[in-house]
Formats: sequence, structure tokens, C-alpha cells
Amino acid sequence: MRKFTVKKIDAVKGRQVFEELVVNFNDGQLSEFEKELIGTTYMSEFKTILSYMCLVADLNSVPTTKFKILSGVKDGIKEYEFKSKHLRVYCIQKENGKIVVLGGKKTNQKSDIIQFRSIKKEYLQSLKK
Amino acid sequence: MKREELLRSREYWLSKIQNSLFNMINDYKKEKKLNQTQLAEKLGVTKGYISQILNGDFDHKVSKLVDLALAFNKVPKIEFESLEETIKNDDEYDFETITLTSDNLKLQILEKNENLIGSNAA
Repeated sequence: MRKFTVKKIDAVKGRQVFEELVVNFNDGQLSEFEKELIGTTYMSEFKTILSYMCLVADLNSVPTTKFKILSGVKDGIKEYEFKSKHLRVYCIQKENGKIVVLGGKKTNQKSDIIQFRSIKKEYLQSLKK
Repeated sequence: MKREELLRSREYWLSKIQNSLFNMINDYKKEKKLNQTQLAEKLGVTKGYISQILNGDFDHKVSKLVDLALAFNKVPKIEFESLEETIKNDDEYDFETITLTSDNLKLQILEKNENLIGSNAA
């Protein structure tokens, strides 16, 4: 059974609060994803994704090619996707903000969405206990 | 990544500008109830060009930026500020909690905004 906490994402500031899920006392899901990208050509895209998070956090409209609400939600908790050419970051809704649950590459999108929803489900269930 | 590192990045400021352009054109498109094809015709540009802007991917010459602004009856005002001041002001500005309890609420917001604007405050 995974243990969850959340922590604020330092880079993202705005009227909404952006947090990242921390699973089993690791570094935070967004931070873990960032670590995978260090030294790769994807860091520029990662910074662009963070920049769009800032725009969304400050209640700006942004293109749906950069940020969108995912369809197929069955539990009433909205799901979001930030995207760049090769990267995806998946979030869920929270009161006045969003929680980053998982980051991944476009090539793993199908399996990442399955994993994202599995973590989301487990996290939400943990809140009920 | 820390906030300061992001503010020092090319990607942050480029995204802001691209998104401002996106909003200018998207708002106009909605207001005039135009589709992308009609908008492209009105501006005398290709549909692909409009699509690029509406995807947040505009990265053309400065002269193109000026042409676009003027086509929408707007002017592109570009100001350069000290990066260090911007980082300092960003650090001091409390985005989330604007106190709503006192009579001097307006004054508090004005004070915070003046810190952001810096020496250009009226």
C-alpha cells in the first residue's frame, strides 16, 4: 500500500496552488520526472511545461495544445494534461489548484495514463481513511 | 527546479509572450465569431500561420509581431526590466494570500502591485 503526501511546487506561482504528489516519501512525482530528464534534450520542454503551469496557475487561458482537461473521468475529480512535443505531465483537480501525479514521455502516453489513473485512485482512497 | 531558475530561463519568458499573442488572437476570433480560415483571410496570412499562433508556437521576426498587433488594432509595448528586480519582486509578492480582513485591503493590493511595477509606478 503506497503512502501519500503532497508538497508545493516551488517553481509554479499564481493564484492557484500547484502541488506534487509524494509517493512513499520519495522526492515528489514532478521532481522525480525532472531527475529523469537532467542531461537530456528534454529539459527545455520541461521548463516550457512549468511555464505553462505558471500561466494556468495565474488563471490565464492557454492553448489546448499546451494544457487540456482529459475526458473519460468517472469519479468527478477532473484530470488535466500539460503537454509539449515529447513530454506529458498529468494532474488532478484540488481545491483552488492542481496536484501533479505523474510525468512521462509522449511515447508512453497510453500506459502512463493507466498508471496515472491507478495512482489517482489509490491516492483518493487514502484520503478517505 | 526552483522558481528562480525558471525565471532565469528563456522558456518562461518566451511562453509568456507566445501566450499573450494567443490570447489576443483567440479573444478577437471569439468576439468576431470567426473560424481559423476566416481569420487567416482577414489578416491576409495562411491558415497554418494562424494555427501556429493559436497553438502557442509563434516564434517569428519582431516585425511580424508588430504587424500582428497592428492588424488587431493594438500596439505591442515591450519593456525591459532588471532580472534581479523581477526575481526579488516575485519572491516578495504573495500570490495566494491577499488578506481580505481589513479596511486597507485596496491599499495592500496597491502596495504589492507597486512593488511589482517598481519605479514606473504613478
